[in-house]
Amino acid sequence: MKTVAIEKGTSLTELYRSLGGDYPKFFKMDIQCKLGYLLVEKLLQDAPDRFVPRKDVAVLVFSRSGSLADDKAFAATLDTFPSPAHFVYTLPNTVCGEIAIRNRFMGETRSYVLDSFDPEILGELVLEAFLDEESSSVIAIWADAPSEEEWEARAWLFTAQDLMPAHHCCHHGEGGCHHGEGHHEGGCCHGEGHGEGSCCHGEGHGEGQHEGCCHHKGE
Amino acid sequence: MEELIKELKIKLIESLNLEEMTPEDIDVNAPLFGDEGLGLDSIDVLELIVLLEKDYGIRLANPAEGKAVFASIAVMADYVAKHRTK
Repeated sequence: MKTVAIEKGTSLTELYRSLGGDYPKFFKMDIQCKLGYLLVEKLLQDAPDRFVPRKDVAVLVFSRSGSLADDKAFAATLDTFPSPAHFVYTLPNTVCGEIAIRNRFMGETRSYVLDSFDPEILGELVLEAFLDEESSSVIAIWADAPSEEEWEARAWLFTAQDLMPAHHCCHHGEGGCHHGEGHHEGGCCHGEGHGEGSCCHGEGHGEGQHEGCCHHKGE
Repeated sequence: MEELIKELKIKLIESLNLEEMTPEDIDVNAPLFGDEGLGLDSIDVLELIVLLEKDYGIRLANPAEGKAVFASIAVMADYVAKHRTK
C-alpha cells in the first residue's frame, strides 16, 4: 500500500509544477478536483506504463464537503452571468471523472460524501471495490475542501497483495513502531503514519482485530 | 483593432484560466478550438459567450454561432468591433 498526502499550506500550483505541470486543464479545475488530481499524480508518478488505458483501477473519492466550494462560487455568479466553468464542477463526483480522464482509467469510480473522515467506512468500501473482479488496484482519496483555503487531502493506493490474509500490522507513529494485536484482512488507510500491514489509521494506533480497517485519531 | 485584440487576449486568459499563457503566446490567427492552437473545449465556448454578453453587450442566441465567431482571436475581434453595444 502506498500513501500520500498534501500538507496544509502547500501551494497547489507549485506542487502541480513540481509534478511535471503538463496538464493545463488543472487550472480550470475546482479545488476538490485539483486535490484529487495532485494526489493521484503523487501516487502514480513512478508507476510503469503510466497513461496506458486500463480498466483494472478503481477510484474511490471521499469527502465531507463534496463540491461545496465550487457550489458557492457558482451561486455567486447567479445574479449576473452564471458561469459555465463553475457549473461543471458543481457535483462531488466530477473529481472521479477528472482523474479517470487524466489517467485513462476506465474502471469503477465512486464518490462518497461522509459526515467526517471515517476510516472504517473507507476501508469497507475499498474491500468492496475489490469484489469487482476487474479491479486489481484501488485508489482511495480523502479530498475535502469546504473552501479554496481550507482543505484536507490524502490518498492510498491498494493492490490485491494488500488483501493477503493474516498480515501483522506495524504502525509507525510518534512513539515508534506499534504492533497491532490482530490480523488485518482488508486493505486500509493511514492518515499520518506508515503502515506495513494493510490497514487504515487516521492519526492514532489501532489494536485488536480489524477486518478492512481503520482507526482515526484513536488509540 | 490592435488594442481590442490585446484586450481580448487578456480577457481570454483570465476568463478561461489559461494560467501559463501570456498574450504574446496567442497567435491572432490560430484556431482557438481543437487540437491545434489553444485547444479550448465546449465549456470554454460557453464561457466566451458569457464574456461577449457581459463585457460587450453581444448576445449570441445560438451557441452554434460561437464556432464561427470564435474561430480565432482575429475573427473574434472583428465580430466584437462590428456588433458591440458597450
